[in-house]
Amino acid sequence: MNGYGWIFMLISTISVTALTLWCFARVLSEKDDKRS
Amino acid sequence: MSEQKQEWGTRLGVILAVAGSAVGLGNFLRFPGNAAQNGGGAFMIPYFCALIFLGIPIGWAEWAMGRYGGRKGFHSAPAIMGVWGRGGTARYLGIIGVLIPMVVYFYYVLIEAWCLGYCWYYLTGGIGIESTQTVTEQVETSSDFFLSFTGQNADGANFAFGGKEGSTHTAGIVFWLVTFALNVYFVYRGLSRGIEKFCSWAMPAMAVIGIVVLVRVLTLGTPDPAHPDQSVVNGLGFMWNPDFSIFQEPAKFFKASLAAAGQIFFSLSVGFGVIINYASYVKKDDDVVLSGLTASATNEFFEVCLGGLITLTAAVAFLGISLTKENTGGTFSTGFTTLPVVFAHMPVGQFFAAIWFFMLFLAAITSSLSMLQPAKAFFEESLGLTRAAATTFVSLICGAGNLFVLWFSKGLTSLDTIDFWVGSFMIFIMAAVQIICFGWVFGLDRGIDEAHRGARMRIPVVYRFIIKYVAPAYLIIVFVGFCSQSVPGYVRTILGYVETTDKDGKLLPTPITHPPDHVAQMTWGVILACIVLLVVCTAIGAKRWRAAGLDLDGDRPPDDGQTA
Repeated sequence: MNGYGWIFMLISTISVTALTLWCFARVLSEKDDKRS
Repeated sequence: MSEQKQEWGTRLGVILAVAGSAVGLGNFLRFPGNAAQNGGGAFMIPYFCALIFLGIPIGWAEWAMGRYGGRKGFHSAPAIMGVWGRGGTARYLGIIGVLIPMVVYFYYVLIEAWCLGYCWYYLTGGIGIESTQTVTEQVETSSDFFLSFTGQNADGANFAFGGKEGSTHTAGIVFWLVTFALNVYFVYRGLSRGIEKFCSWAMPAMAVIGIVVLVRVLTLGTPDPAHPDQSVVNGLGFMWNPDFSIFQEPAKFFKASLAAAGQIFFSLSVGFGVIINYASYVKKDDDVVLSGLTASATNEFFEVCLGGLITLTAAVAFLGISLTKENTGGTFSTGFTTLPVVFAHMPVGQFFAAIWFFMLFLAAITSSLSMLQPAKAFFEESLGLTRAAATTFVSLICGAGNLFVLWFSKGLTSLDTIDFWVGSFMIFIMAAVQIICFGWVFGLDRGIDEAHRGARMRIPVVYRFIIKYVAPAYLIIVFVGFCSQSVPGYVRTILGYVETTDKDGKLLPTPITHPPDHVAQMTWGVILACIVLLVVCTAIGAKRWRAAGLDLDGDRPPDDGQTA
């Protein structure tokens, strides 16, 4: 793998992972009414 | 009157259900090959552009439309589109939002059964690949097993229970029955006790299994010192090294852009009729913006971080680049022919193959559940059926559809016909109808206001312009490109054609006549019969909704608490 490959891979995977974790952190940090 | 109102139990539950609908085999098997063939790392530029300008805005529109329809007491795409599109034209176009999930189910659950079957075979000994064989022999063994297991050698082969391959065919039918029964069971249990509960454990399980396999793959190093080029790093490079020529040559740029937009589009399951149905059960003041973004991000995690790092990396590490290139062009060849050979070389490969195919089975079943639910909801509210009756009715239709595709298995023609016309072509149409209704007919400001109701995050202001102008234009360009590339071939299959030149363009001494493919024609007959059924049910439903005083043309603001 060349330098550009590492850059594309790391930017893509890290940004997607960060976005996913941020979203779930927001969702889970809010009080959620559980209905029966 | 409908039974007790169905709702999601929690916001996380609906997010995982929508993400489950989106995450499927394509995330792991189609995306990597698509990227590698269209610029590698450079592909991610048009890919993320398509995510930002096409996938996410259409997804938000669909979430908002679904929840608004739910506030009006509607849960099916025809009814909801009738409200957003202000009348009968949009209502009948909305039929596509039931047709797609229902008819795609005719073949999708078979693929799901294949995954379950492969998992079972790996738990109980494997699919016949021997370590003493050469790689070429192993690929052949793997391919022969797949062809036999799926009945591709002849129509009706899946029901040939005798002979050398009889037990394989019997097993195929058994796996289909088990898979189908599981689907019906979870859908019958309803939204929160069935689909949501299942997705709430299936999605985390998929993530855990995916990460376990990822760690295994990334720690392979150079499995065979005799082949130092066959390494994890070279595998990652095969997928991620950018080919910048896709930005320098117009034909390559168009091809890569089309491939990227198509990948995003189908990966996120927008325009499929699922999100609009699932969102209709969201409470009126529950967020849809953050939920929609979370579901999309989850899909991207599985696609980019797992699919993008596992499939081709493992293939190159064990097979090398040239064999990987030859055998990873398509979803099925990658998943069911090439990867078994990869697992055959991997230490403890049988275990990893079993959990990999189990993960694919979970990915498939969370998607197939989402295909049954919109059709069930449609028959409930158009015909006034109870949940049990609607589940039975949908199960009978889809079971018959499965048997049709199971029988006409030669070359997977029936499957391929449905996948192209219903699972690809019609999705573009549905998404276009949705985004135009949202941005132009219902009114962009009203649509954004509806999306912002109860929202935990605001849609960026620039998205007003994107939803109204960029997404529809992008969609139309991609659709025209898709049609010009693919439609002529599929039309020729149905109508038959005369071949006068060879693949290099030279005139043939004698033209070759290709007769119409009767299986493709019969498959279209099945699709048309489904369309007729849905049109009739929509007409019956419209009469019932009008008689019940429901606002099916979107003339009034929602009177929250109505049900169809």
